[in-house]
Amino acid sequence: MPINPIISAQNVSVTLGKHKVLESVTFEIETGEYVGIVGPNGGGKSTLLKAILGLLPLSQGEIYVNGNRANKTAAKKHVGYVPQYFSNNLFFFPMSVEEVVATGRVGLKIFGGLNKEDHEAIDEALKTVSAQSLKHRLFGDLSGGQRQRIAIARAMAGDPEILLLDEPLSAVDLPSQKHFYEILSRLNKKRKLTVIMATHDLEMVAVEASRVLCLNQRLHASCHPEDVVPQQWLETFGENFKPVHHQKHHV
Amino acid sequence: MFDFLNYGFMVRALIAGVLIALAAPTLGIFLVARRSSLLTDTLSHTALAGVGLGILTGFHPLLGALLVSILAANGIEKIITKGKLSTEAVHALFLSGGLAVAVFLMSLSQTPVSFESYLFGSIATVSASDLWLLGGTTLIIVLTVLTFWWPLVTLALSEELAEASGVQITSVKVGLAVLAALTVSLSLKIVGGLLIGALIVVPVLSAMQVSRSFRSTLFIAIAFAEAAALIGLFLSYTFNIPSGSAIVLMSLLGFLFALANRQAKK
Repeated sequence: MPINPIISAQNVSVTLGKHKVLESVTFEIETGEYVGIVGPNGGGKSTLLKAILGLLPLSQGEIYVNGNRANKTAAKKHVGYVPQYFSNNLFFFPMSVEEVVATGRVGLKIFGGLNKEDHEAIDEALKTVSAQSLKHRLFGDLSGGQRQRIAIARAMAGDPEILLLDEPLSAVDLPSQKHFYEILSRLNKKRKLTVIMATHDLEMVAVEASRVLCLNQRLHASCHPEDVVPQQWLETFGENFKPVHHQKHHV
Repeated sequence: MFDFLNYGFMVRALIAGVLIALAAPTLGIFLVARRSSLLTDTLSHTALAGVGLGILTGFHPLLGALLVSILAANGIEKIITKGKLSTEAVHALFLSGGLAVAVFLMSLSQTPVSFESYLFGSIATVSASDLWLLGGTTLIIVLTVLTFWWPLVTLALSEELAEASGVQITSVKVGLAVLAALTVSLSLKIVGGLLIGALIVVPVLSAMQVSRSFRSTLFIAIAFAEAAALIGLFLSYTFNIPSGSAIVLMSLLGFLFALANRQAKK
């Protein structure tokens, strides 16, 4: 059972080499929230996601995932991760879509082969992203949009309570992006999946997210997308920032 | 045609060949997928230093090779993980250093042992104790890969995804390097230090031309390796050529066949 807040970051700083990438970042995320993390390149979005995944040492502070420290195996079992790009290895080495999705189960089982429960979870994950027909295809043969849907299926195969996505659509065409966001929205609403996405797509954030974290080394704002005042965004992200108008909301 | 089966050394060589052809691609698939194929060549050269040490001190040469290559495997992984030196530089360091130490130690040795047989393999030199060592090692490799199949596949897919899923990637990487050291060391007599890398890698490359999944790549690679080992050993006996050379040439022929088959289907 998820506990609330499902993610708690307290005074988190991360230093890579001599460069402080995150400084004193504090926030909490409740179960079932859909959070967009926005900010300029180098602002610390990916670093924050990696810190939540327990992949980076914190120079200060703590991150808890469902009550466990983020770098502990117990915390990682709750989190599914969709990276910006899938590994290049997959484009030269033969791996079936089924095998890629099966690796999402590795956090739940370290030893042995797949059992009936694993196969059911893989089929269910593929069904979630409408990709059952791709099951026996080579992953390297898929289009960019199909690959990212499989990335979600891989993350979902581990039955996570939290889905972290790191700019997952930077190389995907517009129709595929729409389909991708529909899947995420459905998972968020129907399964109460907590979705946290680092993105540059402010239009998507305005429409899909329930909250926005504005990050540029420090956390500059944490608010409902509609509550963000354009002037604040301009101050944070510079004069080049153009507010985006959308059919449902405007930022 | 099968009169060679009347000779004990040839039967031992065939058993050794079958075992190596099972172990080598079972391990090689993960090295190729992780783009770490060079590790096998580096370890085989450091294993030769262990052979030199074994011969010089009167210790079992293969156990010497095993010990030195396991230490090297650990060292290589730890230095690469620290990130102060590039991967290729670390391999170059151990590869040339291992061969230099091997040649130096052999030059000090007064024992009339053919170092060449450890470089290129020889079917006449496999003893019963070598077979037991090889059999045990093959069993360890196969059981380890079956047990840790999914963490290994996930690591091959992406270190970041494996770590995010809770796989202890440093332990798995060191474990993989140690298994590579075991395979390389115990294959020295039959395939040779300069050629074992090819038997670990080439059957996997052949299988990649025709397979449709990670798992089928493994099975097809083993089939390619077994065919290369058995035909290569037969040719080695018939034409009196070094066994390692014959096996690797057969393996390369298998790769060309698989590549041509793929091109023909396009």
